[in-house]
Amino acid sequence: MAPAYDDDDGDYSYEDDAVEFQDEAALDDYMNDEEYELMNDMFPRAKKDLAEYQGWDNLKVKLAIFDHEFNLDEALKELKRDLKKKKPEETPSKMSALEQLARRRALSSKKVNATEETFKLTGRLSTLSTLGPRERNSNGKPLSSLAGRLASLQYKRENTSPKSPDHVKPSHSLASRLTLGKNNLQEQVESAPDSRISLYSKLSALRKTKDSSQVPPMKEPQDKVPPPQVNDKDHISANSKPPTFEELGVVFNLHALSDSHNLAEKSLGISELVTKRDLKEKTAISRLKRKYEDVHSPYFPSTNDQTAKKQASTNFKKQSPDDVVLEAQKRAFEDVAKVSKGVEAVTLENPKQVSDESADTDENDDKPFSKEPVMRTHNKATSPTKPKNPIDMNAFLHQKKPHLSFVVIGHVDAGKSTLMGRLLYDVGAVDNKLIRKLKRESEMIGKSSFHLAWVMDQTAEERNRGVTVDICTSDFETNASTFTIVDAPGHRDFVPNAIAGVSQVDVAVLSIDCSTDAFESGFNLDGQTKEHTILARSLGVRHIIVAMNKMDSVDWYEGRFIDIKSELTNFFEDIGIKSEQTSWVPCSGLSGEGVFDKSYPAGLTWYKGPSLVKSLENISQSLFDNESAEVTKEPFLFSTFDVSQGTKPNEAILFGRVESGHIQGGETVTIYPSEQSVLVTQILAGNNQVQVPAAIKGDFVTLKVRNAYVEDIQVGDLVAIVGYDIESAQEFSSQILTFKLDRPLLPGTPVMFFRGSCEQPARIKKLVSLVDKADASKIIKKKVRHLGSNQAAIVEIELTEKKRRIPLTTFSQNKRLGRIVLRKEGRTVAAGVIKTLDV
Amino acid sequence: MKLIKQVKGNGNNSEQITLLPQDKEDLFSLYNVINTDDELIFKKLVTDKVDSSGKKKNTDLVRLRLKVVSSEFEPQHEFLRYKGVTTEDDTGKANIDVPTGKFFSFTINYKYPFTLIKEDYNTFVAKQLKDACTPESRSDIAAVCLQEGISHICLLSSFSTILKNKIEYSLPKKKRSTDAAKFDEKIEKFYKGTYESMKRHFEFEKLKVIILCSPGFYAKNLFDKVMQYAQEDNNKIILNARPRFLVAHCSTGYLQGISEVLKNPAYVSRLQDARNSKEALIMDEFLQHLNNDDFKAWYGQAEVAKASEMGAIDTLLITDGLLRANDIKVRKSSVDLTQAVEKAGGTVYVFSSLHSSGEELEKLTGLACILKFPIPDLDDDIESDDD
Repeated sequence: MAPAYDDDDGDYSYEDDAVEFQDEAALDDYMNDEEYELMNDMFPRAKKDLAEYQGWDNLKVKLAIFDHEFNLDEALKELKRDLKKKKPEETPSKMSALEQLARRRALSSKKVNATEETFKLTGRLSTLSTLGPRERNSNGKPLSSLAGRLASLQYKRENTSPKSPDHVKPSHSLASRLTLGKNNLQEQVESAPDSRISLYSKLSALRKTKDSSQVPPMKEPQDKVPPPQVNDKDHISANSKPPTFEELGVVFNLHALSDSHNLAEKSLGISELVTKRDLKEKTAISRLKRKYEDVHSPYFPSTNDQTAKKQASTNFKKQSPDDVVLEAQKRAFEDVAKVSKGVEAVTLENPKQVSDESADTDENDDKPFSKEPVMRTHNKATSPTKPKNPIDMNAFLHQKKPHLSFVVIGHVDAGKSTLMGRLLYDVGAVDNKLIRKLKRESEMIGKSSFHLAWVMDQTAEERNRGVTVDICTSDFETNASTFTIVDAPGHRDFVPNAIAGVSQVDVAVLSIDCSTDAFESGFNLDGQTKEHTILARSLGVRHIIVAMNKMDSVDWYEGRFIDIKSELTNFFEDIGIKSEQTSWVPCSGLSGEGVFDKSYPAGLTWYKGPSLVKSLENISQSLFDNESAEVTKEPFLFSTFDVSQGTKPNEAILFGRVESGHIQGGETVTIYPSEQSVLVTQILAGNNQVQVPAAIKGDFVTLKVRNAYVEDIQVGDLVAIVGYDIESAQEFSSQILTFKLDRPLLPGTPVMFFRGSCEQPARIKKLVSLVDKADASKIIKKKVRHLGSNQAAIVEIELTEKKRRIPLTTFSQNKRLGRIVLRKEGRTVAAGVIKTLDV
Repeated sequence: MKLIKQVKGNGNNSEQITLLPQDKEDLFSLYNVINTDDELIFKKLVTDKVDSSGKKKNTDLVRLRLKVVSSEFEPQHEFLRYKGVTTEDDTGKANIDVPTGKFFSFTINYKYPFTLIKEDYNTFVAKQLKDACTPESRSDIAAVCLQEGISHICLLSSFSTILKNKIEYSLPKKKRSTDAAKFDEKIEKFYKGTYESMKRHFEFEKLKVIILCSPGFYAKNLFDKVMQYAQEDNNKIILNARPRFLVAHCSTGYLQGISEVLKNPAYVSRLQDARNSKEALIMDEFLQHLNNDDFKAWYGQAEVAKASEMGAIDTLLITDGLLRANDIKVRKSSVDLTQAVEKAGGTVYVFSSLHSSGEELEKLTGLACILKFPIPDLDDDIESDDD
């Protein structure tokens, strides 16, 4: 069993776990509903079939059915075989004459309270007689010579004083094991008394069991035997012996057999058996130590005990107690960070092993509550798969229209949603019918001017309150290119959502309310105009189009346009947005002038530039021309904005943006941080979710993937092509630039951390150094006590919720995903880039 | 907590205190008070592990005296356990038939008293015990901090902010193609889940204030929904608690939002009882001084020690972690420092490490101070030491 498969395979490979059932109820509990019904169906039939057989019980039958995966015929066959074999009364012909003799002697000896020696011989012989079909078929000679050997042992034993069972220590059997395989006569003589002692203890236990007529607790489900019957007592006791002794018995027999050279062939066969078991020896011994009581029960060597074998081999695969201790000691010398990393790594690779380890070493397992669950990870594929219907990417790029995504930002009530509604309506992405419907509905609650905004604001909450809460994406197409609109909320409480929106796009449209006093109120200290612009700049938006909205309310007065433009230009310079990165368009979202093709009113003569959509098309084309070459070279990376369960089992639907590279149906990708590899079956795009052959950088698409564990995928997860690994981290070092602060940033200051659509509580762990704002490599001050406003610094940040790991890329790996924003108490306090992940 | 008996210590004998803890806050007080090498006397059911026959097991109530080796504290589960080795008992009442040097654990419960023998009984310990034994100092506040799809159900006491449950529903993102009705359905489920969790974790009769805080209107919605659900369930207890609900505004649905509310002057009158809101305000004052760069706020071991020597400390901020440190030297110097500051007329605020403000202070070396007058060059010579 490969370690990486442990966790997720747990669901169906229960055979490997060798689950033990104490009773019928436990088995019933273990089964799922479907299995339970099947069982209820089959069980009565099985019962009827087995009516003529003796010695089965409900659990045994149920287990048999269960183990044969509800194949009733198979199960019955096995049951019948088992029962026959174990019921000598029913099949007397199969008994060796010798065993019958022994049995008779045993019975008689019981009556007359015979000596221990007789018992021993009986037990020994009955053991030998059941060694296996091979032995039994050709048993005459070997068994008699074995009997001779035993007799000699018995003779020796009489020379030594008998020991009480309490003195039998597992080390004796260990010693006997150590002599295994050595043909030195001297050694064998030494080992003989040891074996004899175990034999002796076993026998006395056998007698004890008989006296109390009680079957000791059984270990393996397969070992379970029919309820005891009076005339059958010693046989049953023999059956219920623990697997350890069976091995001991085999070892012992080996000595006996190899001693008698005329049995070379037989002993070879057995020694093969022994070598096979060699591996499990250690576990068996340790179990022997533990199950002290079991040692005293008689044994029965059922050599085809598969479960016991399996159990033993799985036990051996685990770390031995020594290894656990050694590892712990080794770890103690490594530094703390490394240790935690190491533990995490172990958890990822082999969760089962760790839990075993903790059970061995952790004394706190009696705590009244369970530990925090560890985040699950899955097996990661290593080899990529080929697309199902491969297409030539270069040709695809050639015929593809340029695509541009843009976000609309601005102060609350600057008309962002209305502007977007207008845009969608004018380009024909929204039909007349819907607009009429919305208009009617909005009039009903007295907010008729909101009807265009309702195209984007769909939830009851948003419509009733007239504010956008969450981002909303929508696609539309013009002759020149395709677009994805992201409508961001303007209210300060929903800035986190706006951050998610801004982080998804290439271009931002800054909507400015040009009506009297409205711009000023949105532009002062607490207005979102500034915060949104800073966010756009910090999150790597390439171009800002300033939509001078609501110009109709000031009668398209040029003076107002110029005033606002000059004030904004100063601000843009302050925060480092270059003038070639901005363009200015006067428009009106409500009436539609300057948005798409509706011409400006006759009075407007001072503006001759392109309309809003035209400007977007121009930018789209220029960005596409610059970057289409990179698409084929970069690895595929995708960030997830929305996850849902597909219609089929194990199917997930991921909505998000292709951050780099390209993807086609049929390729295998890995989702981080859960590291599950999934197969992309379909790629859907657009409002109507049309299937497309491929998606390239910048596209907003829905991926349908197969073999996914939806519950382990979260919004903000990253998806990458197989072979491109993304690290997950809880701590990282980053270079940040602080904005205007009320309170300084100190080590320990709690902040909210944003990376794309990931939002996590975090705190500053350490202030490393203060750097020059213009040149980050120039360190101004090494020892930093606190960070004030407008300072550039290198800091270490750690996430507060420890079990949550976030896939991160450094800025050098990905220009967009490497950017972060820190907020505190509802304000954006800093923005920066991730420098390194290993702190 | 009930103080049952206290035997004053003198030069030779240690202080002996017999205590009966009563609720989870007492656990935290005890956690602060009981250090390693303190001794505990208590009764415990001890089961013999191996009997000669291998069958019978004897379970006896044994009086044990342990020397504490380590402690485990899980505030979330109200679980405090000490591990220790048996020591010699001079009274002859405990550790009968138990060999010295045997390991035992002791889980604090609310049923039986135990005796604490403490060698380094100091003012901090005395104050902790005094506070714990005066029930008036208690305040029970519950808080739900939420945002879209995420809510945190917390209990606040004067010592701790305990996250009881976190509800997380992944809500579908808005898209033009998404059905809005489906979205509303999910939201409803989310509120319902939060309500159920509140019912499970809050004892509404005992709570003085129930804070619901969120960005936007989620808190108000939750309040309406809670009342609606309570109405449907005919849950009198919650309906009666209606005036004790406080709907507040904060910027995030994560735990930081709660400290924001505690700091907000608009809610101070409602939250007067909460001791931790005072701590949040002091922390804020400290940060304000730091932001103003008026050289009145300093943090760090060496800096604070120096300021204390000069008698310049007006307010000392210290975490309880330092006062219960396992290192006796650290513990002693911290207690000495608080005494020195109080002697010089300053005030000492002990920040609980179970609060966010205490956590913040812990990261700031655990010691900070606001001075009576500015000292610009306090760290001049210290800085050279460090480098």
